[in-house]
Amino acid sequence: MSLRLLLVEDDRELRATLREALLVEGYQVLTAASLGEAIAMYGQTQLEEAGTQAFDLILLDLGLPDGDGIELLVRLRRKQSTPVIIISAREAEGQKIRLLDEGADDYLVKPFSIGELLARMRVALRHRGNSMRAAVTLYQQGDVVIDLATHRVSRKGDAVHLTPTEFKLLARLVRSAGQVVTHRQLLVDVWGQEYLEHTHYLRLYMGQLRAKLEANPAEPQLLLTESGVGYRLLDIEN
Amino acid sequence: MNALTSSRHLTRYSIGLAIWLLGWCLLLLLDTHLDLASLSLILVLASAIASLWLPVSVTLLASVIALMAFNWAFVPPRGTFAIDLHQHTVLLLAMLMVNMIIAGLMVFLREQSRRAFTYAHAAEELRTWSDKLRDASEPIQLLDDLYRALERLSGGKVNHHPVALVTLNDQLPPDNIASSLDKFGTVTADQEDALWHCLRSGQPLGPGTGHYQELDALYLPLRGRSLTSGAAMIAGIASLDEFPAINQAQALCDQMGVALERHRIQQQERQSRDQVQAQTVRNTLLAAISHDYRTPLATIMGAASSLDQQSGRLSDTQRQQLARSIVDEADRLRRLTSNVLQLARLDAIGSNIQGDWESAEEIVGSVMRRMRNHDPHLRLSASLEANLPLLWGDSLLLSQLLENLIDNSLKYSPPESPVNVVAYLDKTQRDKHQLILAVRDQGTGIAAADYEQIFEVFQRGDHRQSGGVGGTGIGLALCRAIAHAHGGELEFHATAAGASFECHLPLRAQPANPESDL
Repeated sequence: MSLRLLLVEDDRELRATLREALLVEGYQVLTAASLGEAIAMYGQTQLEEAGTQAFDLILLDLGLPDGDGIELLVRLRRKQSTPVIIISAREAEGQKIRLLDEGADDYLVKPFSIGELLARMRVALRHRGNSMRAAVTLYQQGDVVIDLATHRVSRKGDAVHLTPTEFKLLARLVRSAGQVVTHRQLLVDVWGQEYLEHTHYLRLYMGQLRAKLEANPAEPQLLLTESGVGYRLLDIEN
Repeated sequence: MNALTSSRHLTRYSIGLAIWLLGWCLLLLLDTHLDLASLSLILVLASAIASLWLPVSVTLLASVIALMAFNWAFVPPRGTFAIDLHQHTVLLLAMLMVNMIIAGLMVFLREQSRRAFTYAHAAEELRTWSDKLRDASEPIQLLDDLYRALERLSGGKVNHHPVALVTLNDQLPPDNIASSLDKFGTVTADQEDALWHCLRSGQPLGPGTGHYQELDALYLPLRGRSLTSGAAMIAGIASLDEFPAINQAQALCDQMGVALERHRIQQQERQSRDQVQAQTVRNTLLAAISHDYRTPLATIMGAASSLDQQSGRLSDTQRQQLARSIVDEADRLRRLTSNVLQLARLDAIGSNIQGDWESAEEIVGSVMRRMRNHDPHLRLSASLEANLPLLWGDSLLLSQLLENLIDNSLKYSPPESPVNVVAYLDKTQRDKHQLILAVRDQGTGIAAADYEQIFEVFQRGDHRQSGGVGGTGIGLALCRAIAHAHGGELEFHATAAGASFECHLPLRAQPANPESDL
């Protein structure tokens, strides 16, 4: 059974190109050129209802002729957790952060390559319905193994000692492996609501984690920085 | 001022009367020693000398009294006003005539010298005023001086002639709008209307000017060569007798008018010059940008049309290569576009960047990861000093700066020679530690030679030099704009080993760290 995608993009050329590329990958692709069309395809009831999911993943452009794509995201997120990847020409960090915090799974700035899009889609699909399924508890990438269940972290077979805060931060990233986690989300989940503005805590602890886990902290392969937005732990599959 | 005048008058009267007194003492003393004619000459002499100080009326009165007293006391028969001899009558009449003539001459002379003095004073005042205006960079700042000069000329508050000044702060509006005038002093609505009229007509109004003589105030325009920049009012003037210095006041006002006009013209010239320059810079930029877009577009067009039209005759490897070059060139266009966008954005926001605490390690790390795609021969390496302090800035901009510098080095240093990214703390300046992000290569520093020239092009908009400025120019211009927006500086150093592009960033007091939870 192939996965159903909804592609909301107003530019005809880009819509056709992406559709072809996704069909080749074996997805079932439905397209919409405007916000109205997308909502119509969804059907009022399905959009606002919990339970049945009309699509497995949505690729959403922001600047649509009849409104902003964010409207669809907000309505969808009231009840449903269908993964949404934003594709937009807007590069402002503030916008990215806002959309991620609103519940978007990822954000790709145009232009992007198909390879990049497919990788992000795989991650988003894997995290789909996170709350229902068992969370990722074992992360293995290269010579680094992180076992959340036993609180054990090792590199090249040697145990790595982490402080409780370092472990909490790493665990938060492992749970969203492959996905961007915004500064805000990390600060709230690890330190608490009142530490929203303390970005420098993250800089410090991420530095410590890189020193312990990366072969060359100046060129990290695992703990990746999304400038101005947040952090991403390299996906397991890669 | 009045007190001063009256005390001066008192002195003059005292001196005059003292001389008359002295003359009479001399007469009484010499009474028996000289004949009548000689005695009368003493009286003539006293009158002449006294008239130097006394006004003409007093001199004449004093002469008549003196003559009658002389007649009574000295002319026989003494003790009466009767005159015995005809020759004595002639003598007395001659004395009277001479005294009157002398008094008249004296008055004329004194008036002459007073006028000469007034003229000299007025000329001197105009000269200093014009010097002052010429030296002033903002003549408008001297309005206060003009105000005081007019007040002085009119006798100001003492004589109840309040002064007011208005100047246009921009072009002359079609209607009288109060907000387009700068005002000194207080005016009524009627007076303001009259000031507007004076300003628009460029003619003095009020008593003695030939226009609106019935007004009870004098209105003088501040006239330049072709336009009037303002007007002055001296209130409470019914006739010109109350304000003899009208010409002087008008001259002062006109000088101010000329200075204001000159200043306005200079300002307009400067503005249009700036505008032309900004336009030229923009054109140069646009020319450079379109030139830079053409090259990758040409490659994309070539490769894509080849795939489109020759597909059947191409081998798989060839098709792969063409597709690859389309991807690479599209990526180049993406970076170019991003540079142009950021340059425009920085131009608009200046140094109001959205800052946060950033780590140099993270910035270098993310840039290294991205640039690896353009580094098939693994020329790139990064080395960072341990425990670098945090930076305050915009990580996206700083990443872009590093990316541009690395791109530049990869492009313009010998193929397969190493390119190093370094970050370290510069402690050479004691109070001002700086964090330095540098990209070092083994080239001669491209663009190094053209480096300053590149900035010159964007600053002066010199078309003749823009030929050699490629995407590198826009990239480096952006790097410098980013460094400046962070309060830092972009520097280029050529060493024996190669070239080094460095971004020097000032450090802020570090934020408090969380308590360690080891």
